[in-house]
Amino acid sequence: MKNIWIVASWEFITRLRSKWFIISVLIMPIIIVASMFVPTWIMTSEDTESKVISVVDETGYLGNRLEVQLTENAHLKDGSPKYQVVLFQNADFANMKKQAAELLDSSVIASYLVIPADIKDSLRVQYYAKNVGNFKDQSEIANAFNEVVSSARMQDAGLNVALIRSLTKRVDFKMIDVEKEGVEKEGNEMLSYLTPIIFVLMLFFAIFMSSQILLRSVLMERTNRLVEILLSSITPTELMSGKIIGLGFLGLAQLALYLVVGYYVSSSQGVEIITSANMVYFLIYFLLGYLFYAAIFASVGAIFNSEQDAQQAVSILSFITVIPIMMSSYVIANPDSVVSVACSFIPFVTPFFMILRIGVETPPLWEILSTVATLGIFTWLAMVGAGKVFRVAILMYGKRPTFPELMQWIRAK
Amino acid sequence: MLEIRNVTKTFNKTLAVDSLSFEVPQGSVFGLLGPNGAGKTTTIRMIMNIIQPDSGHIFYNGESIQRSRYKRVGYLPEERGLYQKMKLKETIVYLARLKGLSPSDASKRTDHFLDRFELTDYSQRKIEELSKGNQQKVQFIIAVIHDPVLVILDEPFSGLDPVNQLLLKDIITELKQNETTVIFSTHQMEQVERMCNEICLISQGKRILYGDLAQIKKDFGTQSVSLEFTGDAKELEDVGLDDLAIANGRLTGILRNDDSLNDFLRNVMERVTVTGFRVEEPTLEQIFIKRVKEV
Repeated sequence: MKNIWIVASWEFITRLRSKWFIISVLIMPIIIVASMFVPTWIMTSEDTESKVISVVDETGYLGNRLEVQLTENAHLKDGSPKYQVVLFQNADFANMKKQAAELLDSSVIASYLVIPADIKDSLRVQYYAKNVGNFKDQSEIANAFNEVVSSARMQDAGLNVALIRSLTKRVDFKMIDVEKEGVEKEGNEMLSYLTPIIFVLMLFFAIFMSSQILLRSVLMERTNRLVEILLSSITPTELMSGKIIGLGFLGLAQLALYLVVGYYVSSSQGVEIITSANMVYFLIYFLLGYLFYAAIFASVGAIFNSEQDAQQAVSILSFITVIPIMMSSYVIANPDSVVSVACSFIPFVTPFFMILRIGVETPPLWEILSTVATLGIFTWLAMVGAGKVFRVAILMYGKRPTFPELMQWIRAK
Repeated sequence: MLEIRNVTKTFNKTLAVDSLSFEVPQGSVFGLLGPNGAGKTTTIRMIMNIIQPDSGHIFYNGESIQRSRYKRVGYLPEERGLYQKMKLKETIVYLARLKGLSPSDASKRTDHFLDRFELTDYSQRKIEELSKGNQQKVQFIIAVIHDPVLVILDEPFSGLDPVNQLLLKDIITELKQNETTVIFSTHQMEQVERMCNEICLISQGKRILYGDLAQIKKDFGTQSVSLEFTGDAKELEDVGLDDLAIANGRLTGILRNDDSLNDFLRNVMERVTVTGFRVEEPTLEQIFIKRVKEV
């Protein structure tokens, strides 16, 4: 027992200290947080400088209305109008277009809109910009112009524009996420979609970083024959247990960091995605999932002679574990479907499916208990099998054992 | 005393060690010899209790080798590796602690040995920064740091310069004086002749020579003859020696088993004038090669 702790603390401390571990652990939440907030931040950030645009108006009056519409509705942070409109009216149409094109070319204006005389029938305008990818400006101008044109058409049809506008006002959908016990809280659709994905990624990285380190650590001691010195002091079981425990704590530390960062970031945004109940589930599914994969990775490390071969062998596992991430949209939309529930009972992916589903809404207790029990049994079997394979394979060099040989070792008492 | 009794080990139908028996007296330096693939490493691993024999027993002081006991065993494997990315001192302390030393004791002893091997300056360096010879010294420290009663050294001298070889020899002598048993596995026969009292030569898993080194040489029976003479060298071409070589008035060869030395000398003196004569006992290398080839 003492030896297990000596090995465990050695593995834990030496890895925790390593620069690469720290870097990769820190970079992960930064990427997650960034992927969460940066796009929305960019989308919603207000511009600080006004833009000059041109409107080439063959109708002679819609351009003015667009100018008013834009001035009233598009503002900068300080409240001043976002767009300054340079109007071209009452001149030769082709000539006006040419002038606008020249202004755009010399970057005096950011874009220009061409309104043909038959706009009310053709419903077609042309928008010229050097950067047509600027969706925000584009949609603002398009929305404003749509208002202008539809109002003009209503007027032409003799309708009361103000009345119609007030009658066709859009309904504001306020999203309310109803949690258990009838507590209502204001939901953020983006966030409730992202939460399960962030959860599953956190779990995925915590489990696989530690398992990969375990694999490399076993392989390294084996290929440089350090294992002979180690096994002249302790038993293979002590060595394997110590490594698995030490690196398990490493994964736990990593997960704890993510949860703490996640807690503070989310509560600073006024939402509560990490609750104490979630933390308990994280802990349970991390522990079982990690032990399950650690058993497999430790055996792979003991069997293979080179990192390349070993990585190839575990890459098939990576394929399997990416499935829950690929299926995440489906699971988030259908957390209680037969497929989602059935997949939760496949030990290779149980932790990921369950954490995805917990991120959406907490599944019934019997499902949590039965998936934990199923995964627990398979984890136990994997550990026992891995112990046997590890004991035999760790000192074998040269030929790699065949699958029947492996099965024979596992069956041996 | 370490006793190997009728030990057999098979790997996938290959017989690695075949009913091997020998005894290693306490405080002796014992040579475990054999060609590549003879079963030395397997035997050593069984002594270390890393693997279990299929049949037979290994006793230390009359009791079978157990976990508690081999905390007092030190091992320098032939193929050497260390945690390249780790610092020197912490690595030694870690491995010493696995041998049961307390953290403070492990640290104290590490400092002592680093000083002894002139590695103190490197104690906070990464192992990969050390030269190969220095890494080997580190491995030797790991094998002896916990004050073992039995040390197994597999090719301890390979790759060391003469100065460090001497240092190692001094320490092995010290171990011997402290009643530590040293099992020494090597291909370098001169080293064995200089250091070991007893040897066991194995080939294809079987014991083919075992016992006191001087006795083995005596029992080997052959005598190397070296003779200086004046006269016609052609006269000596049929004197009846194995490995006969004649050049520049000097003859060497091995006396055939049943021939008497006196008869040989008389025979030679009838043909040439003998100016010098010496009988040498066979070198261990000669014995090794001859016996291994015979098997």
